[in-house]
Amino acid sequence: MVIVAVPSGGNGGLTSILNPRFGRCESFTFVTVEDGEIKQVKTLPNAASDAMGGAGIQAAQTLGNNNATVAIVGNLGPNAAQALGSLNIKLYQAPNQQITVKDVVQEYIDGNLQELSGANVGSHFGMGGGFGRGRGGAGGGGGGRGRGRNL
Amino acid sequence: MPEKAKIITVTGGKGGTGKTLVAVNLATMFKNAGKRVLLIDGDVENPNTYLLMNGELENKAPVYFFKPSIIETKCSKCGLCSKNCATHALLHVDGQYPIPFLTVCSGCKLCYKICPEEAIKEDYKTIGWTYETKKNNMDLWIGELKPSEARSAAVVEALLDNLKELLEKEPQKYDIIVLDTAPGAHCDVELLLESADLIVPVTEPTKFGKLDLLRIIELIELLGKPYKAIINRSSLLGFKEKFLEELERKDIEILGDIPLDDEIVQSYCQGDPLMDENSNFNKEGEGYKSFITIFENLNKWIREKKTASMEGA
Amino acid sequence: MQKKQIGIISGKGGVGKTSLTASLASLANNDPEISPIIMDCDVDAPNLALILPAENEKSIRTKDTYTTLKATFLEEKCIHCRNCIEENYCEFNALEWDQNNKIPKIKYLACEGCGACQVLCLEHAFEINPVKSGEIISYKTKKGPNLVYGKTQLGSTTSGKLVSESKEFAKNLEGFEENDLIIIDGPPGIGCPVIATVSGLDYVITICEPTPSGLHDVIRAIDVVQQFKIPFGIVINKSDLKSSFQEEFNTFIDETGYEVLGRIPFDLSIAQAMSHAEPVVDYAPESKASQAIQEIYIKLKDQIWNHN
Repeated sequence: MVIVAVPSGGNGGLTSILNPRFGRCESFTFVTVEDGEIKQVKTLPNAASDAMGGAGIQAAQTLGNNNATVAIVGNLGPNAAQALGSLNIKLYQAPNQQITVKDVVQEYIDGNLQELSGANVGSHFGMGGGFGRGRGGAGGGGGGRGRGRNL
Repeated sequence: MPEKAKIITVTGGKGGTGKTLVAVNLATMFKNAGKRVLLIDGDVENPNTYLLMNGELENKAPVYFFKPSIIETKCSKCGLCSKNCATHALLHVDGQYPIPFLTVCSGCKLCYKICPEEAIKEDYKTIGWTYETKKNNMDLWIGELKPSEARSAAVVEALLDNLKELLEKEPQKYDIIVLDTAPGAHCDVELLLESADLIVPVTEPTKFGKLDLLRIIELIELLGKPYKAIINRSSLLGFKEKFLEELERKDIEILGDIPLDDEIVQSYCQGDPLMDENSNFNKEGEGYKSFITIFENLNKWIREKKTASMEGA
Repeated sequence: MQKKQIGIISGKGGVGKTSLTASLASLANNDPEISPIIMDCDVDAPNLALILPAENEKSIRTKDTYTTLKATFLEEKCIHCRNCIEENYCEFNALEWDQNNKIPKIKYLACEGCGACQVLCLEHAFEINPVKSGEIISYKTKKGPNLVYGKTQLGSTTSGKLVSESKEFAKNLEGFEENDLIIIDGPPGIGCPVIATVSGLDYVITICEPTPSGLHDVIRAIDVVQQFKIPFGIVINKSDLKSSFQEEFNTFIDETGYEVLGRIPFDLSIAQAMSHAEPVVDYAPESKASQAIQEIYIKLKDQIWNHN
């Protein structure tokens, strides 16, 4: 049994369209596939869709927490690719055209999708991504700035 | 009471207007006049001062930036760090250790501060370097951002931290400190403007120069600092008069102007500052004379400021 | 044509990015094979609009962006415990104690909006909110193609994000699907806004001058481009500059084996064109510089559509 995650438009579901923007898609559709058949479908809104930064990482986390083992993606940035990789989620490239979740999962079942080894687009720094030029965060090497931790 | 060093920041808004040229030659003229001078190159994305002085990068010291390291023996996999990370720089899936993503980490250290198990170690990565070198009897500090790192302002802050420390320990070590900034009006530049006693924006007599000059002046005025502009390449296409008029109409004071001059290009390409005592440039050249005038006006301005502050006190 | 995105960067400022972008924009616009869209991602000092003004002032659209987060202090919740200062909640030194009122003060410019104070203060006396970080301006230019550019709010500390948001904005413009060449005027430097500009591009032009600083800075810019594995070509501006550095410069470029897209000789018509706020290829199409840029354009097309 595998759980295939597909970034999807609207509220998701088998008839929704695959959204190529992994971190910023509206929803994820999780499709359980067993013996070459679709057994179960679950949808979740993507909490990262309007995150200020790190959307790809947050989205990957959603997949991990829902036990996805396979993801079918359109565009995938380096952070998301690395995050999915560290969660041992297998990646497949969706065709470059409008396609429903059901059809793309069928393509996967039929073995027509190509496995992806990593990111297929540069870091777009999403909507937020790259911060300012960032002051601070600096540290004086060994010592750093000491402080109490009273929490 | 001995005087505190004057800090002069050279900036400009637009790129390539001659900021570094002016900073290096002002510092050189102060040195010629017997002042103890520190030149700081705060254009950390592209530090060029040492190239204009045939200097070397010496005494390299890393600039560190926070990175969280997970101590797995202590981590309870609770996910609190990940949940609270505003930039989602910690990937956490139930039952697993969090994984840091350094490219999105803002360095706020919140994860380190809130971890109930103290399982996050305050670790550091190198995002750039500072250099301290001596050239032509002048001290030169340079900041350099590591290519592909984004946090340039942290490198600028490292330079300013060093400066602060110096001014606390040895407030009388220098008479004059000249700061050279990056182009633009972003926080790298702003930090160096904030530190200044006087600001010299360098511009050129074009529409672009003017637009960017007005923008940097808006920022300087926001910070409430005194400034006087220098017009470089002033003989370009004979625009000087019209440009001066426009600045005057906006109440922008001028420290002087620098005409197009082959000797300036030569000095720039050879790495010999035009105004260096030992250089072989023509002392009657248009470029040379223009720097002398600028230097006189600058000294006059410094004296006026001094009188004003004494009267104020 | 397959859609391609290219950017023009330099490391060092003032070496001709905007001039070259404007000329390439004009050449692409007159090219019957190409439908371009132009962007200025030098969000700290956007200048391209001066050369590519709007066809109709009324058609200029401006969208405020809120890519910056800043902390707000809620005085009514504060119990004046001083923990925020004592325990150094803020790594960016944006919290300061106001002795007179016994409350913390937020230094607006230093605040990064990281949210640490909001989480750490047990009284919930801090809140994080988006604030205006800049504007995205778009319009149809007199020349024809659409121009999109970002402009930061002074003190917003957000250049990189605004670049990304401007790129995203362009994608949602009407007619974007038909555009097959996106030409981006990049910022100087090699930091955050440059990284945000080049990420996702198909090709980068790195422009430089044959001076020590020009070379030094373009090498650093190339370093960034290579880390993103984007193909690039060098354009040498003022290529015949009389300088003792020429030989060293040319030897260096030859030895690297980098693709040289072209050399633009020093030509007063560039300065004249800029003063008339015109791309040089329109102002003086027969000039040496214009001819060099036309050759660069042809080579660029070949590089992006035939070699990749």
